[in-house]
Amino acid sequence: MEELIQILEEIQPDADYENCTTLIDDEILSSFDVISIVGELEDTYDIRILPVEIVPANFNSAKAIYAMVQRLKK
Amino acid sequence: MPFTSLAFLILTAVCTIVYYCIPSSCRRVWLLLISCLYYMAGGPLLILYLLFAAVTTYVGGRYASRGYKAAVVIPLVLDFGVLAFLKYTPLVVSLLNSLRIWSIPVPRFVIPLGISFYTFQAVGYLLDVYWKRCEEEKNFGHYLLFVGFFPQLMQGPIGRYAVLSKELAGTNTFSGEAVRRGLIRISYGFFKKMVIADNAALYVNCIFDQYQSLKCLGFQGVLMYSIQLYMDFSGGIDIACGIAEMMGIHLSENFRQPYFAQSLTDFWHRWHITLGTWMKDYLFYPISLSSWMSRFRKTSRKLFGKELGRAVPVGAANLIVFFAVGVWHGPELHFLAYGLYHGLIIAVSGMLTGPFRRMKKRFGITDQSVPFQAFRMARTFVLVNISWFLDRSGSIRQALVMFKDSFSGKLFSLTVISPGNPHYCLTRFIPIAAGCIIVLVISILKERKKDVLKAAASLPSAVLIAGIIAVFLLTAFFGVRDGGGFIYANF
Amino acid sequence: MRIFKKILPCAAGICLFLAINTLLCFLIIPYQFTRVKVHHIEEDEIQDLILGSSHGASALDPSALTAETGRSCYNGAAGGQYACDNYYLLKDARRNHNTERVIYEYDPSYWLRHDSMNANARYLQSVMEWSPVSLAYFRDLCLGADLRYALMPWFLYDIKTQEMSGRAELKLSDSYRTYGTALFTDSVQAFEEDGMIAIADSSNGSREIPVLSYGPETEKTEREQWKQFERLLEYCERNGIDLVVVTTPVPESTYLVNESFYRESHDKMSKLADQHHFSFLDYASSSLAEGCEGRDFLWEESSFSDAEGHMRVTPAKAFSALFAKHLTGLSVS
Repeated sequence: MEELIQILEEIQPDADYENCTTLIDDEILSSFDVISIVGELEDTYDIRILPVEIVPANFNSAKAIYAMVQRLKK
Repeated sequence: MPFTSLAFLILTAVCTIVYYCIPSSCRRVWLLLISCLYYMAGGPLLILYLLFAAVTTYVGGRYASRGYKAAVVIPLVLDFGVLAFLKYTPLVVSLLNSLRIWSIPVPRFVIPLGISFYTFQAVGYLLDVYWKRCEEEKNFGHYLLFVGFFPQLMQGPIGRYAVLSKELAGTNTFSGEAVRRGLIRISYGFFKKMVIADNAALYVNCIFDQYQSLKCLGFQGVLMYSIQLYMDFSGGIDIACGIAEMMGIHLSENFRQPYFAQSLTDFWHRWHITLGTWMKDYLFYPISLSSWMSRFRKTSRKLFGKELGRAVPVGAANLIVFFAVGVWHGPELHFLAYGLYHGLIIAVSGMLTGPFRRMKKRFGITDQSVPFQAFRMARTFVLVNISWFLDRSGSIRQALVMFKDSFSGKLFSLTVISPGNPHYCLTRFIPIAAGCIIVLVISILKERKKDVLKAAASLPSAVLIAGIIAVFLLTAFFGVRDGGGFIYANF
Repeated sequence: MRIFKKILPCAAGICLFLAINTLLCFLIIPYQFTRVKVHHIEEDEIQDLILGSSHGASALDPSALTAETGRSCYNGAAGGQYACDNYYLLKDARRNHNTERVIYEYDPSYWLRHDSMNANARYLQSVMEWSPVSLAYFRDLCLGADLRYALMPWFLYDIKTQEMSGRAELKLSDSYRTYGTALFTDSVQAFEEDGMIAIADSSNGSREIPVLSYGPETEKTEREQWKQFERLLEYCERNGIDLVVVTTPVPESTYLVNESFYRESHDKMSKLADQHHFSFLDYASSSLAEGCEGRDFLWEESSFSDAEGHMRVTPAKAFSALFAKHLTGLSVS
């Protein structure tokens, strides 16, 4: 989780990843950020993220992103 | 049948009244009937194009839900093929002719109304089904209504199946508030289109058509165009949403005070929103997540380092998206240039995000500071207006010449539209100026998250009715006799 | 009771709108001679009804025709009246009377353009008596048109506040009530009792020669105009009304500049005339035929008030006498 937050901070530092649950809904993360995050996650965790996964529910909070990564790692 | 015609007014009124009088189980059939009637008024055979798009994506959807890739690819090729064939054949033929080997007569097709809009909507559904973002629709009638719901057929908004199909279910009961809200939005749309946009168009057409002899006034022309385009397009959307609203159906919003945008990216989150999100979901993400893009990312990282290496592929994907936006607007180079201009600026600013962030930190600028926000807003407005030169001109050359000439000579002329008649010019200019102030005030309130529509809908009936009558009379008082149709109905 | 409460404000609103709208129509729309023409067409027993546009209004003198034929005749032609408008005018006449013959003035330049917000047509419709004919006319004219054109016809006129009181006064005058013609007579033109618009011999309009031609851009309009004309033609055939189509002379210089256009339009109408067995007398493109009576003056520049071909009154009456003779020479079916 810490590693994930570090990745997120690097891409978009102006967000409160601990508490925010509306990263997409409130447009804190832009589509640019989302794609940058996806790229970073793919490389770091060696996973493939398909278009199916790009839904707000998966990116609205750091927890949700973490859960998605855990799911895909399996 | 344009939104501004008497026939459409009658159709809408009959549609709404009957909609509330019949049992909810019949409502979809009724809306479908009215939609077909509306579409066939423009030429009975044109509905075949709509049916073709609907049938291919419907059948495709049945198989795509089971994971067949071909069920997505074939309808995609067919539907975009029809769109491309109708829109680009004349261009291709004239290009071939310019080689001077053949001389093929340039065909002229009747472009079916709203084909770009419903094709995008139908294809969106198919991809959603394939990517399991929504359930497949088994009932073809229900699906056809989703593709061809009449208020949005002509110029959008481009709806999503998961949202719109629920809205169209027809289970709502009569609500006076919904009717009031709808009527207010329709009136507001008419006001924007007939009072502001049509008058601004007089200036725009005059300045852009005579740019060679005028050799100045380019800025006035493009400012007027920014007014015309916004009022025309968002006015049309207001009418479409208002009609749906009267029946308790919420269509997606297509505009959110676009000229208050902080950046071009932000602009596209506020302008023609449904096209922007369509492009994002069905083009930008799939391209960005493709395996070749993933390989490109790895190479790019090696070449440019971590930060820039991450931004370059995203920028490239973005450029492809805006290339598509340009192509969507029409088979002309200036539209392509318009798309690429936006794409390039957004891509470059994406790559410079890191350095900018560090710079802001050093100078102690925060995004929340009001002067900085004002600066960003002004800068974005200027950038957008430069792109309008490309959008409105007949050629890239014209756009460049006009832009260059704008810096010399006169900046503003009230009487350019009718030099000998200042009184007439004033009667054309006043509604533009006054109208813009009204829209600006409403926009500021909306930007501050005030629900203007709700406040207006809760006014006493007498005030509301008087207001609607006043708007109606104003459209005639300040109306332009040959105002022409909606701009986006041509796409 | 609850529904009544809800409907009441709406009904009041509609009444308010209608009241304001009527007032604005009253103040803004100028009084036009079309209203007098429609009144005569609806009230009088007319055997020969002249229909068409401004060329016909100024060149065809019903008295000259009556003198030769002995039949009652009225000139219902007016500027801005297209085939569709003339069709409904004819139907309006036929509601109460037995029009026996239509003399249709064919100005081919009307086949090139059509204004979807034709103010003349809207006015013509509005001054007709309420009847199924005027309702059908409203439907044709307004249903597909801009709703302001349909519902607020004052939108078509410039709002001149200083003229409003004059317009109101006129519409309250005796002359208005009695359909007098004097109001429309001035130094430029006289509105005669038989519907002719007599343009003064001293009147001078634009001498700029119009350039007329058919092309791909006029194709759609032209098709629509022919469709409308054929509707009138069919109506005549169905009801046993004789149809005579006439093109009035135009100045020689205008003809020569647009020779191919006039020839083409002549051929198009001739073809239709042959198919449907109606008479077509073309004084524009046959004007140069050697030996034609009146050759010496009818196509002279001086016979017209402008280059478009609006005839001055003296040559117009001479032309009408000539036309009347040709008319009696035609076999009457």
